[in-house]
Amino acid sequence: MYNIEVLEEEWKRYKRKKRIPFIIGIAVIVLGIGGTAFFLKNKHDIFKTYTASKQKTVKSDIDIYIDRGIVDVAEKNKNDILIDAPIEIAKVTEEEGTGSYHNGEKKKIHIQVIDASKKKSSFKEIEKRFRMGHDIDDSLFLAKSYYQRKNYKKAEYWALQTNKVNGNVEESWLIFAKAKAKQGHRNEAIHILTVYIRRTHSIEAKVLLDKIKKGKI
Amino acid sequence: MKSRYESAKEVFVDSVDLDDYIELESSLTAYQQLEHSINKPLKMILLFGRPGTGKSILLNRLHDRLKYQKEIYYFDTPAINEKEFFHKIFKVLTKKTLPQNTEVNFSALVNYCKNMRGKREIIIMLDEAQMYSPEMMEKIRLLSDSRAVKFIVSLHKTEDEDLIAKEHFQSRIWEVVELHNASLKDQTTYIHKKLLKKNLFEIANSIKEKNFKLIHKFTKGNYRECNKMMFTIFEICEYYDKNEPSKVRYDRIPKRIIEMAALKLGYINV
Repeated sequence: MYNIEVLEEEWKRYKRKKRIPFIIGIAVIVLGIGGTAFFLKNKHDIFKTYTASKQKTVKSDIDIYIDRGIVDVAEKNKNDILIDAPIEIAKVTEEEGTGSYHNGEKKKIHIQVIDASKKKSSFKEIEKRFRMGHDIDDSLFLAKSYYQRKNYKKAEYWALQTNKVNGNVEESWLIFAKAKAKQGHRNEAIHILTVYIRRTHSIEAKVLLDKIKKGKI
Repeated sequence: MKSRYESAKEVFVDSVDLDDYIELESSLTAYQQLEHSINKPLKMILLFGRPGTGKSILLNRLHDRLKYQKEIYYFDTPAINEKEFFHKIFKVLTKKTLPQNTEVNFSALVNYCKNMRGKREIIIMLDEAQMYSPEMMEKIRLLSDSRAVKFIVSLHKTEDEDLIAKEHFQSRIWEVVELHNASLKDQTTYIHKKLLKKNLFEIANSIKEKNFKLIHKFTKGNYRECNKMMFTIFEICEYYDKNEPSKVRYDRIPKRIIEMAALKLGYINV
């Protein structure tokens, strides 16, 4: 009989040695996958940069409407962030969203950014779109835009439309109340805000109520 | 208490005992081929194969089967010298024993053989024939030329012995029977049959297909190596059974034990 303990030790060493190529194999596979993923990612970025640099643009029918407030901010900070790109004439060239990755197409679109608050025809367009899709972003945009343009009746109408779709949008309540107040219906505005404050305890609503009560609006 | 593995271990003690002979498909083919060659009017037959492919046991079996039908003799170990070898031949041919201090006259022996032609047919099987010198092989050839004595020469197949076979037999031997290592199927049958012959059913069942594959991989189907391997496996099992029973399972042979046996026998190393 041989020394089994020695043989066991030898066997353990043998097993450890046998595992080395396996471990190396796994490491190579992992590195291979990692490397390929890194390469593919870089390739994508290179492609993106390349296509962007070519500037072959396709004119799109999509208009993006920018809130007057945003335009104001943009104009105020023109020197900082939009130095050579006044928002009214800005042409934004970018990849067509994430959709292009899904279908593999590398189509580029040109998006014309329009200050919608200055275009009457754009309002019609948005109103039409709201009726089709009932998107509260559209109705709220219209409410705010009309309020800024001092068209309080329309502002009240679009705030109400927003509220019908989603009664929890605070801005719609505030614009509605402001529009009411501007039209001389102060009591009605106060009543609306009181009801809203009771429900939500909104600070902004309280501030607005105070302003209306003091006759500042 | 005697371990169950002790009996299993003993089954694989390497021997040419005919009781241990296991009939396999491949060995049966070789046997039939050899038997068929004996019946042909050939002078010499070469039984060829690597060590451990079953040449000796095949010659033994042939001797055992034909000893009452033919004048067949089996020389298991080569004679120390030419004198001793011809003493043995003389005894086979004349059935008489020569005194130790006498020498056989080779020419007279050849003539004696020539005179025997047509009257007697003697078959002499020479095992381990690679140990005979070229001069002796030449004399064996001359005796076979008498056509009264037929030689079955069993040779190891190694590089050097291949050369011997080429030089001394290629042009003279009329029939070559070659034995090969066992296939996985044959080796599995061999191990199983060996254990079952000794009623070791449980142990035979504890060796699974995966074990057989591993054993075949290590031993390359060589019967002698297989015997060594099985002996070592059961010896390790026996040790565990007696000293650390938790390390051995009766329903299967752990791969670890097979690998330990392979390490012990040098089939693998660290």
